[in-house]
Amino acid sequence: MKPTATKTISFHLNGEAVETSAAPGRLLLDYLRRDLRAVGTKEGCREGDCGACTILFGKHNAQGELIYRAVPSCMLLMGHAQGGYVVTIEGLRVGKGLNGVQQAVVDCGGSQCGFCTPGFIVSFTGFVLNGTEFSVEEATHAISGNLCRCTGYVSLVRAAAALIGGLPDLPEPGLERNRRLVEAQLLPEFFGREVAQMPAEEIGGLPSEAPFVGGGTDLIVQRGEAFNLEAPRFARDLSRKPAIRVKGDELCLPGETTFEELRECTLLGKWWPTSRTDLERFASPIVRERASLAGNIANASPIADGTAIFLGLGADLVLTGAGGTRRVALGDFFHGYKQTELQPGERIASLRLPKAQTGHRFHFEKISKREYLDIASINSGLGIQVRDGVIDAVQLSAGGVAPIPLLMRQTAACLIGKPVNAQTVLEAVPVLEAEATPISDVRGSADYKRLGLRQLFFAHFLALFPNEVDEGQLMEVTR
Amino acid sequence: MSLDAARHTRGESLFVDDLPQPSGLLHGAVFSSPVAHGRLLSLDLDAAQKHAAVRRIFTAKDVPGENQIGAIIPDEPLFAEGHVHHIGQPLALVVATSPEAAREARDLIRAEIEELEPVVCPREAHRREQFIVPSRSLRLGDEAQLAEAFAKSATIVEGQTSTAGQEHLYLETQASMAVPLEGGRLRIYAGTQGPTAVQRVAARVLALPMSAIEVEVLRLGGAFGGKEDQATPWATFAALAAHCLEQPVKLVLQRSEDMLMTGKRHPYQSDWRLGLDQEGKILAYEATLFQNAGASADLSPAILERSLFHAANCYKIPNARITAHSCRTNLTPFTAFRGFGGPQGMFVIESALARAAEVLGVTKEHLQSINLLQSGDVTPYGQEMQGCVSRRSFEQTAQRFDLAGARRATVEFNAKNKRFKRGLATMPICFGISFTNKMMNQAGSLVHIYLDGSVQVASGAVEMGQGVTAKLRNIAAHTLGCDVNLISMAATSTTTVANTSPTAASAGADLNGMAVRIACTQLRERLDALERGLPWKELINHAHQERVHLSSAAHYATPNIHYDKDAEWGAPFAYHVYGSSITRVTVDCLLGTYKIDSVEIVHDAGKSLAPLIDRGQVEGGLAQGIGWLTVEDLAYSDDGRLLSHNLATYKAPDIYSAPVKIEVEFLEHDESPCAVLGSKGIGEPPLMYGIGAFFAIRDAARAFRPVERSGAEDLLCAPLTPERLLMYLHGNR
Repeated sequence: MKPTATKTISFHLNGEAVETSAAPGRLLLDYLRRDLRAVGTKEGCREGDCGACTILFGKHNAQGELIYRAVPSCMLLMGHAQGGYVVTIEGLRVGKGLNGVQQAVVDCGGSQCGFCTPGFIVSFTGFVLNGTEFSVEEATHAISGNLCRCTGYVSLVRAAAALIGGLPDLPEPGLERNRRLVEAQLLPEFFGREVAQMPAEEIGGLPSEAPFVGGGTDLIVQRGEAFNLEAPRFARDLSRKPAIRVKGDELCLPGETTFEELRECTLLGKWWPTSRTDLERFASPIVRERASLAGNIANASPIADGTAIFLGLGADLVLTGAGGTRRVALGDFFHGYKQTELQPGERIASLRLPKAQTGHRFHFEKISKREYLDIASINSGLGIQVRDGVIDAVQLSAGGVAPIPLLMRQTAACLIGKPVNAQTVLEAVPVLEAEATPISDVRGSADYKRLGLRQLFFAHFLALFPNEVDEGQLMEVTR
Repeated sequence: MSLDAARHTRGESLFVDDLPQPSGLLHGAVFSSPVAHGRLLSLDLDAAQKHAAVRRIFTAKDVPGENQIGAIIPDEPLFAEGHVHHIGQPLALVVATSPEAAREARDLIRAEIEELEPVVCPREAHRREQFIVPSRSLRLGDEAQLAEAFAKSATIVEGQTSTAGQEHLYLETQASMAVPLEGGRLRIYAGTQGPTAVQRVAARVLALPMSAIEVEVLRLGGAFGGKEDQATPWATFAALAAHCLEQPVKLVLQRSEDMLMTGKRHPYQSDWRLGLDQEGKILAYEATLFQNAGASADLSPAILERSLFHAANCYKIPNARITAHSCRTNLTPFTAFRGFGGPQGMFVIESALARAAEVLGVTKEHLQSINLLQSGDVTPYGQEMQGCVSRRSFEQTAQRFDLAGARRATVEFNAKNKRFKRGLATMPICFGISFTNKMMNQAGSLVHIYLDGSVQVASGAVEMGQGVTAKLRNIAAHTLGCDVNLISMAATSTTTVANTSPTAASAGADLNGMAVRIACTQLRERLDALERGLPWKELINHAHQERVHLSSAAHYATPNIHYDKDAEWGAPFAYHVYGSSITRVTVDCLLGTYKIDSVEIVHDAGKSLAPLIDRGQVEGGLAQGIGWLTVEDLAYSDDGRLLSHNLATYKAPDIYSAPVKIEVEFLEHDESPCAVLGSKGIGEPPLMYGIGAFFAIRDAARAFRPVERSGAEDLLCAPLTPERLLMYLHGNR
């Protein structure tokens, strides 16, 4: 259905208010380039994989301060932009010369053909705005969602070092920092202005069968321009930052939490100690900024990293819809390929992590062509509880080896009650291999995925029990 | 740095899709064959025609001139007619008022095709004798001498290798806009490395004289060979529609359209046999290369030629027979990609040496070092090496970066570690500079000095990030003797410099630089004939008063190159570029993943015209070479469908897959012939250092699973993806 005579979408672009009747399902990238002719933002792939269209997207934090983050504009629908603060490469110009970010990239030879360059400048700027540690590693991480085909990246890493070397002392992210950056001529003047939060406003009048969209990082790629004609319902209200909180013994993660919010959350430690590094391998920083927890699970991709992790952590889901609220184990949520427990109109409200027992250990590992910025060929999470040297409880997940993200119940059962050693691990291998039913596709052959799963299984034990499980014994096994 | 770098960082640089939109602009979308091989029975355009936003749908019958775009061989129609020969072969062009509408209508088109059996494997095409051009062989020594050399060899190794294709992944997809001018003339803003090629083909298709078509190129968002011949159809489509509708038309491919419809680096398979004496000196080499050319010629014959020329890399091979077949298959025609067949040829001899080193129980670097070319040696294509610094660059690399120590450290690490293994490989290179087609080694320039002293330089060179405009500007400033900031570089246009060769073959700065230098020298001589000692601006003013011609056009043709194709003998290259690298990697043998720890390079760039640019070319070329042989995996189904046709499935290197450390040192010498102002071409040669990454990973894998245990498995199949590696390390035998 065509969206009915539309409400206006209001947002800020480079410090100025914009109102438009553009369809809420249209890509912000298209609106910027076609309608506004703001052509500094480039289109490279339309699926969040190259970063050429990266912009800054500002939202208010709990303290009411406007916080800008780098995101790909091909992963934002116009409805997402409602009430938001968008800054494009045009909005980063300071006078007629170069700001500090631009100068560093130019001086170090970090720009060759120039097509990816605006995206890199924006991502670097996102780092300057939000960075908490000014190291080359962190700056590199900030641009790790941007592809460059010319430079081989080394000159961009040199630019990162030059940029950091030239930064003034900076307070915490927020208005004070922005003002310091304006003074240092790293940002134009409008970043220093105080900006009142725009009243949150539903883009209303939508039929209940309209598709729910969270961050949209998966749905936008799947549906492409079809979203133009539909009016999706937007799951997240810009004015509200979802609060991850401890509820009784459990950790409650709202469904609209983004993976970058998750990565930055300090509460997770007790439940998921390796969250920060595990999540670094999830998509890229700019995509994590958009991708939501609920979306990652609800799309039911058999290789979703988030799902593999939460299966391994033994999570439950709270679903909400017209019929009220109910709770299901994540392991029971997936019924078949892209088939889930969700009823029409229902959505994932939150995810619950059970109380972590002392001695509980968790490990996540994935294999992909590229170590970072890639979709897994296979992935796996292992949550394991050992009491007195004996395996007491196991949650083992496997992605990419079945039509659904798999909870490996039989393999888990075969481990329970056994001592932690290489022998136990090897004994479980036939069960593990029988429980997986991979198919050959563009991410790898069935043989590879089955072998890889065994290796991931070994990797879990080598990482979690380096003293109990003999590396040599596991490395010797061939098929 | 690139001349435009500052503009790029401010988001001010314009690419085709960024140009101001002329009023009445229409947009195109291309409908292409969903089947790799078949007979086209009918094309149902009805539903698409009815789309309200559609202005016109073009097919083969709407071509006013010839429906033919083939450059070397006329074997490629603009629109398929009668038969389809690959998935993605254009069948119809939909023109509508918006790109979305054009795609929407395009998706309503139905083609009825009687499917025929597709051929996707070059060896299969070879069996069926489906060739693009007759096969060719280079020989050093005759057949009897070759047989004798093999008979004398203490060691003979033989085997097979393969290298896969590679997507260019220029960040800017193919794009063109055509604008009708008065009197039936057209201006095409094309994203091409070859403006003249576009002009010529568009004229042929539209039945217009070339003089009625202007092609202008401001800059490309990356090209790497992918816009040499493959930019032509999209520009021609836009031109056809603009000409017929008398309205401006733009055609921009989306990423997956681009990946499905455009050609890539050629996949090759090969059989080889290498004979060595007791010390490991090469006595005899024979190799047969099977080039997967795809469905039509494109540039395949020229690429095949360069594979032959580089099949011996930088090694002295006294007896050789190297044969190459250009095999016609039902895949999208493969095309130019940085290295132009050279890397595929070099990979084969490197594979043979890797295998030989294992059999002889020595390191590969030892075998490489004792077989390097020297001045006076003759290559299998007949060129006598002059000023050869092959050994010098290898030795300098070994000393400067402590090759012996690095090898020792690798062996020690591997003795102590089970899960992680380190690997090392050296990669010496020798790459010939010049188009192997002699005719193409010419260039033109046009330089104007304006009354205020400012200067505009035009040439046939296209800027695509390689920094050619910055180099040409430096040459002009140096030659004219004026402030470099007075010089601006004109967009490349067929109206300023005509009949140009594409910017390719690492020769863009060489050829156009010489043409600019000649034009500027002429101007300088005219100025020098006047009063001396005047400041620049006053001098120009004075010259104008004296009625001195302040414009100059020049032409350059590379001297002394020749090649006899019948004899397969000659001196096709103006000079060679040398260099050497050491690559170190760590492999996680549990998971089959790897990290490139370092690449250390000594590279022969002559007297650099712009050191920062040349460093960037070395680093960027290296990264592309590594990507080609490691993670970049062009996957096809058996029926000829590209499976990895978007960035979610095709992975080029990201910042974390780049080597942790890259060191580049330039070799300074004045021994060998070179190009303008002592410089050397730099675009392509560094890509071949990437071959070192493949052999370093293989080296580590062999440390985990030695050759004795792995039997006949040679691990000489590229790319060495984590999948292939894990299957080697732990898979069945």
